[in-house]
Amino acid sequence: MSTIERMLPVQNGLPWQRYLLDSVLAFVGAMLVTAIIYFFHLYPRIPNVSIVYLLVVLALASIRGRYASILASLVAFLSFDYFLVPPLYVFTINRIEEWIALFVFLVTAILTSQLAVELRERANQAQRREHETHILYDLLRLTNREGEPGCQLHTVTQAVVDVFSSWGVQDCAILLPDSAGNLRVQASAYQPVEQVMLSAEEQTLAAWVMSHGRTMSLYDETSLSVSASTYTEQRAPVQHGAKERAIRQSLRLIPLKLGQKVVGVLRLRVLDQPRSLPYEEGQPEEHERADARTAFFWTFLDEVTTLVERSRLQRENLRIAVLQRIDAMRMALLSSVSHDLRTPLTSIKAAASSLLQSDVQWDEETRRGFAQTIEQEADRLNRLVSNLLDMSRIEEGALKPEKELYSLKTLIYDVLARMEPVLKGRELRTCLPDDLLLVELDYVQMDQVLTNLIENAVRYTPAGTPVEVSARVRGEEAMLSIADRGPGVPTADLERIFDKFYRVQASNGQRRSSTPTGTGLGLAVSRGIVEAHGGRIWAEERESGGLVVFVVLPVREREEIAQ
Amino acid sequence: MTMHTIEQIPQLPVPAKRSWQYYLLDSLLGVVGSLIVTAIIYFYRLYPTIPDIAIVYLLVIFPLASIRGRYAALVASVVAFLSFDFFLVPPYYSFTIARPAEWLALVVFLVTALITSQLTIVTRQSREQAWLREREARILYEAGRVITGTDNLDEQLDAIALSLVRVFSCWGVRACALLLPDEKGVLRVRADAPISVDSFTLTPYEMVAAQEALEQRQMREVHNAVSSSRNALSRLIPLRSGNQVLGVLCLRIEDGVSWFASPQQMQDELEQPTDQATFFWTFLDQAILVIERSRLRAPTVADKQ
Repeated sequence: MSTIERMLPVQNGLPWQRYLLDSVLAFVGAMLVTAIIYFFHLYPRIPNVSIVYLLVVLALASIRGRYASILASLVAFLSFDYFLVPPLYVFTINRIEEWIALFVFLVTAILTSQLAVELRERANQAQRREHETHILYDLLRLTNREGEPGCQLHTVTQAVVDVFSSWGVQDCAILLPDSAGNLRVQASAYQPVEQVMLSAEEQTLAAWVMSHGRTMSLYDETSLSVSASTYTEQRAPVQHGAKERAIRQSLRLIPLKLGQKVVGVLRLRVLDQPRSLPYEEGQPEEHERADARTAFFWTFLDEVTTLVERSRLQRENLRIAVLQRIDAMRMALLSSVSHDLRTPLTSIKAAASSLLQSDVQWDEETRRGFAQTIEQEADRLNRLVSNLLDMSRIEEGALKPEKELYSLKTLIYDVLARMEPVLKGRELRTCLPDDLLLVELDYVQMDQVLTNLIENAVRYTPAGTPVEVSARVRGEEAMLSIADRGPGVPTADLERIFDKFYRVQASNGQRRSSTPTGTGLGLAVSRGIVEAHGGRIWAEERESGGLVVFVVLPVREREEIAQ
Repeated sequence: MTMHTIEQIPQLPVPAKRSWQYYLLDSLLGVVGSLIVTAIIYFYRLYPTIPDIAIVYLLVIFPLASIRGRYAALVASVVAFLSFDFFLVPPYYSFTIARPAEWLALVVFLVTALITSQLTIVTRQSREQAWLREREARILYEAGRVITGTDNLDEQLDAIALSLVRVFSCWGVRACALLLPDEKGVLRVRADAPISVDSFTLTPYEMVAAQEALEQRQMREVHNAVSSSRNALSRLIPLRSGNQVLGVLCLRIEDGVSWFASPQQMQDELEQPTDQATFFWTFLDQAILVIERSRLRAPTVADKQ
């Protein structure tokens, strides 16, 4: 916020100091030239020496303005006559030619100085316009930098204070209607929004400003005398404490209008300088002095209004986009869960029904097969429910691993043994060194992580392709990896596959696999559990095709463990 | 977004090329203005009746300095000096001057005329400079408004491309395309300008240069074989945001202004930027900011969940 320029301080007419300085400069400048001509006897030796006065006159016209240059012309005219034109030391002139010469000098000096003043004013005007446009551009640039609509509003309030601080603006807040239509402070320049308390009176007046589209001032009674008569009908007293009253400031509530629609209210805390800040657009007294300053103030407010409305629309769009995503996720969850529930249930039901058929005599092996199917599918259901429950615990921050020292190798073999039916028909390659350390982990939770990863490796790869499980200790970390030779995951999706419900889309927009899909929770839950253990999990593409998922867990030093 | 919206963005002023016609007009105005004053003084015999009558020349020199500039004011001052000497200072009709005081008077006049006209020129230049800065700030502001008027990235890219061609056409930019990498890192044309029936197609050379600009994060330049102009080139500029390159801007330039058309000068400008270069890079920074914001928007939506 430091880069926005400020408006120059208001100058309510030229102050007397400025006139005094102009007078001194004009007088001293002209008299200096007269003195030089006088002491060096340049006149009448050089007949047109009076032209040298023009250097002073034009310099004053360019630097100080009209008053100084005209005064210098007059002083030059009179001093030349008094000190240099015979008869000396009187204002009378004997020869008519001398009169004409002096008159020509005066007219030329005034004309050229006015041309210079005109030029200077145009240059000043161009500089002012440049300054103002720069301020508007800075406002746009600064708000563009902020991604969050809330931050954009905060930037706008700070910009208002920064730009108009020289006009007495000390604080700024933006009030926007909430869903119930009540005005709420959405941003404040210097205070956190929660700390900005509006009195009942302010609330009422802000609501009035919002509905009527007119500016209101809440003034301190002690400063009423300054210009109460001007805006009596639109001013109302506000109660301040004794300390505040001494500061002499007022609150100004300005409607933020977009065409005829009022989108919010700008609340300005202004030092009580009634003429410093334009009061209301279209006020007759403002028209009388409808200068560029007033026009810029309203242009700036128009820009603020546009930004406030844009911010509101962005927030609305963001809300809609979030709702759409949530809706899509809910649908995905419903579809996945119903599919994942239905499939094992159907298998269990079929196996159980077959077992219960009294008219069929099943041999021992077939009966055993049915029982295994029931067990496997029940396990699958169990994993699904565990993942759902764990996901909600992870999101609530309630997942706390109960860590104890376990052998990583034992854990891996246990999981592989349990998943033997799932891995049926696959070549399982393991690389587990004998010296694998004991690792502090929650056995049940890490079991679930390994199960999810191996299940994914099987689920999303063609039948018959190998699954590789390896582990090693690297420094103070134990690294575990599960690799497959499936289709892999596009680079852009490698990070996102750990988001809940995220599924990799094929390039044609379809889901990547036609095989039964999961809920999109396995990897998300795995990441939650691993991170709760203080570890990391990520995926990489394999050079010769396939995907490898790495899990890294911290390993404590042997000494630490011993202690 | 309509073309009408884009047309609200002001254009950069065409750099003034001082042709011989311009200097001829300045010379004529300077000579004629001063000679008219000399004629009036001569026919009404105002000199030496009014000793400081030469001051009236300033009423010609001064407006010429403020409206036409240094050259016209200089011509007028010199012509005034010489014509005053030739027609009005004895001996007449020669450039010799009998009295040293007359010499001194003429020199004082000439020096004063030159100093005052110089003063005027400085003020005039300051006004022109402020006007140009104002125009540049206005362009940035209006372009920013148009580009951020929508949240849709494609519309924003279209607005950037169209406004680039509109604003920098006076620097020789005839067409442009914004190329952003797709999921596989391959550059694709996402927006182009001006609007035409045929889609914007990069030549193989341009495509290679664009890919190089993306990978090496440096500007590339290729001769534009598509154009019939001999001074046609394509400039490929990486759109950098910090250490990241978001895409590549392809500008097709014909008869461009020198700094914009020359790779060496453009490189020099990067190291020691002038006002022109600063304005161009600021404009581009705004475009980059918008693209970056739109790209960041998707994860924000995800985070909000």
